Amino acid sequence: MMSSVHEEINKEIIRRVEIIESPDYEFVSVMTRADKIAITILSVVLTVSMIIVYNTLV
Amino acid sequence: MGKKTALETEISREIYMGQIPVLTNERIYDFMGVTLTSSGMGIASWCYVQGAWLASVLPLYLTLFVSIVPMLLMGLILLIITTIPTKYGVDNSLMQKAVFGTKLAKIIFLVMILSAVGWFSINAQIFATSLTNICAALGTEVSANLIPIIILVYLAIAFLITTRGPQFVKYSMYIMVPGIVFVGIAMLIKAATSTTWEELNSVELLSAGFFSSQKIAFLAMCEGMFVFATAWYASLGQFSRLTNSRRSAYWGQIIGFILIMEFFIIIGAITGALMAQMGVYSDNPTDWMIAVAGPIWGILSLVAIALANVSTQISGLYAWIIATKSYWNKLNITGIAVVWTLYCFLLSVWNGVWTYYSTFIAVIGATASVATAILLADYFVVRKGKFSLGAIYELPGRTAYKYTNGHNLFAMIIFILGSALYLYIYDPINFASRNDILMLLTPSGVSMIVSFAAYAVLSKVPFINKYLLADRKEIEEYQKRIVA
Repeated sequence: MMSSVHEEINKEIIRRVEIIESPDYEFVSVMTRADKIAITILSVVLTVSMIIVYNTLV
Repeated sequence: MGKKTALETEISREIYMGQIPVLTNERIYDFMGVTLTSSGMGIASWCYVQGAWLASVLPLYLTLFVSIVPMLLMGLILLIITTIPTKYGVDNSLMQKAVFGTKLAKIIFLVMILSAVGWFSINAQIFATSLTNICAALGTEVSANLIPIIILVYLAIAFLITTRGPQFVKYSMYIMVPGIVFVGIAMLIKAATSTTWEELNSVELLSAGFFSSQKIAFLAMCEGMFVFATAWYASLGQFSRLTNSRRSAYWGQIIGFILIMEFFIIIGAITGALMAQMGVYSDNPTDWMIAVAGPIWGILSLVAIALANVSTQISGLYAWIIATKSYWNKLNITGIAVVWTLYCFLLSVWNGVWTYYSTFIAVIGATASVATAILLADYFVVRKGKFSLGAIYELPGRTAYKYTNGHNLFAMIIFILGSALYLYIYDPINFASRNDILMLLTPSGVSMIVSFAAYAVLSKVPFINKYLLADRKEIEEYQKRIVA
């Protein structure tokens, strides 16, 4: 029973890999340009704030 | 018929708790689902330990800053990795085979998970000590000998819920997380209104003497928060592979793994500072709640700790099961859960992680930060987000990620040098900087920047590029065959 389960699982993996690797497969939606801009701006603001705070210390 | 049903059930279980890729139309988490589930994993006693540690080194206004900014910065960078498991529906522990090679990825995985369980042992210990504190405050002394049994019961509850599957995990989070946040807000208001801002900022800093200056202390605490974020390395991908968009996975986990945790770190920092007013170091909010606010608040605090830690243990155990199944697919899910639960129990009873907390943080930093940088460079600069899934699963004829006997030697060298650089900059035993110039960027910062840059730039060297990108030909040929 266990070996047949593993065989079935392996078959299922092969089937799904074929589906995902086919050119027609629709992946989940991507990050938008707005997301990337928000991540960049936030990262810069956070980094600059750390530098400013560090420079105020003695 | 019965056999077929059992097989179908097993395969369905393998999709959500094992290694089978999850297709786009099978995703069970939306933005809210992934936010609540990752919050359930993030909120735990480790936040209080971290908050109290920060507050024992820096004045409260700086503690609040350090609680929020460095961790959010690192989270914004780290969680970019999760877009790859979300895209393919495959856990990151499996995806990283493309980077490290089929065998080295297994070793990296083991190093990360064996150390990551240390965080969970802290939660188990705090839960047990909180319970004994409350019992003592209510006039019932609980013998210290019972602490291992309390920990075992706590771990057993999490075990039973986790092995019911991800839907059960998801719905238990829907109930627990709002409750924990509500109790957390009440605790924060109670603590913050019991004193003044000036008093909190003038508290004697019990651990500040470990550092040569406030600037070094600030950098060391920023480092501690960077590591607190990169410690999620072992858990990247388990929830995002089940999420229905890359945006939802990324921002949901920014809230759950980063922002919600920061809120509880702040609670730990404030109650830690309040206890420091009495000259006592405490990283357990129930101490202050019992001492000042009374047993009712102590019980409320214990409820918050119990709910938070159990929910974290559930999510953590679930994540370890998936990651372990990625490499040892013949192992039984319940068996894996038993092994990780027992390992967590042994670490809790040993008490070493809590005792050597700063050193533990540095171990995570020296490994997870560097691995994060290598993954980012490989996934997005070298491979540009495109992988040979067949090679990830080592299907017949798909050998692109075997590299040299299953080891990507290039990634291995960068990993070793990056980790060595980390330890060259920071001495985790004596809390000392070994190089004040490099320390300005923090040990994690320097080792990540150098590892990322080295990997990305050297990957352009023709023979390294050919070595790393053996999968391009495989992807092309495979797609041609499918089209034909």
